[in-house]
Amino acid sequence: MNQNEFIIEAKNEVRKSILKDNLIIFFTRVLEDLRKDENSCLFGRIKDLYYLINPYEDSTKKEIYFFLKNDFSFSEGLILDDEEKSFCNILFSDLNSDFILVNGKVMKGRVLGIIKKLILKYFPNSYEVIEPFIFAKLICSVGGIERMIKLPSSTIQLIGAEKALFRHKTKKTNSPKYGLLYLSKKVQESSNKGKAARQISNKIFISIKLDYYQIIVR
Amino acid sequence: MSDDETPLLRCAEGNFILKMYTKWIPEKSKWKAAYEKGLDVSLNENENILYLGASSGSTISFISKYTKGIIFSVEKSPKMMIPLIKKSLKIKNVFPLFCDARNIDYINSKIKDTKINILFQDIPSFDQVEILINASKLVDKDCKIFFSLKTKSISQGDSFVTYKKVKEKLKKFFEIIDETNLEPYHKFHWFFILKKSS
Repeated sequence: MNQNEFIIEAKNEVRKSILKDNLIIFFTRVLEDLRKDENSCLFGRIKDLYYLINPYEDSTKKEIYFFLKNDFSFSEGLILDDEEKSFCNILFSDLNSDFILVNGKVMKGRVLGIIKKLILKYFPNSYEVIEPFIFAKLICSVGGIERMIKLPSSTIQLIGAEKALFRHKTKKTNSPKYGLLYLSKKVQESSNKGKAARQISNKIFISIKLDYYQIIVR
Repeated sequence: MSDDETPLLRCAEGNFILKMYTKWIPEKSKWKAAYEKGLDVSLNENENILYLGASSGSTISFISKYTKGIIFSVEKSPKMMIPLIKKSLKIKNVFPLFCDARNIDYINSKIKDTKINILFQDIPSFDQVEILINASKLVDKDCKIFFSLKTKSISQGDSFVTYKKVKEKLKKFFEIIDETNLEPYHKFHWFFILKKSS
């Protein structure tokens, strides 16, 4: 028996299982960092992306510098399209030697635009239900689309309100009605916010499954 | 600590490098914990192993020193598979398989005719016993089966009650040779040594 055949096949299977939602998670975490502090160091975030694209290599700071200038042609992990490569290059072109963005204010808007485009590409049904950045935040807090499709709609409604939920369970305070969904305009504008949050979570529950099985898995 | 006792080595360029030692700890490995508890889980030189639930391969890296046979390591999660593949690039007798342990047909197609001497299962799942019964079709009657049970993954109730239920289930398909509780190394864990009943 040849060990190399096993390793190559396992590598190919792993490559298939690394999905595009990881790229959305990367950009949302970058945007969240920039919203906290425009001059935040993005070395850790870019290291995460490096490991997504080259999962079997150990990285040092020098290798990541080289990775920023590379055209991502060789990858054993996540494979990027031409469009996605251009998205990454937009972010990398503005970085200085300390991995801090030169124009933080401008880049905030650009990264938000990138997230919108990515979600419109991979989650077109969910794009119509909820704002793209909030949807991306939901995926981020759950930890991936594969975990999210297994959740019931009542759990989706309360993502981000875990502290209040467990306070309710232990100390018997009032139960929370919405978590991250509160940021949505549809919830904030309605008179009955709990009802609106429940309706949106029900729709997300259906739209995620459509997107996952129609587009992402294929 | 004096300078002579420090675990630092001076390399040719004059820089210091930390010398790393890894130890097989029973807190991190159920195989080792079972050995510490007095079960006969020793290995012979040329035994082939089918390891279900290999995770990142920390136990496998130690086992591979004691046998020259093939270790088929099955893992489902891509996050854990990446360090396992990294380790298999360095160790020659570790064969990684990225698939679900329930998918016997795929595993059987990969193993082909190699005779498996030891089947080890460590998957903390609610259908843990069913997976073992299913996977036991791949091995012969003289194969040793090591089974590590996590009761809390099956039921959140009293762990001793679930242990008894599982034991009754196992008796239908296997002959229980030895068993032990893995405390204090692992809470709510039991370890069984089984054989296929004739």
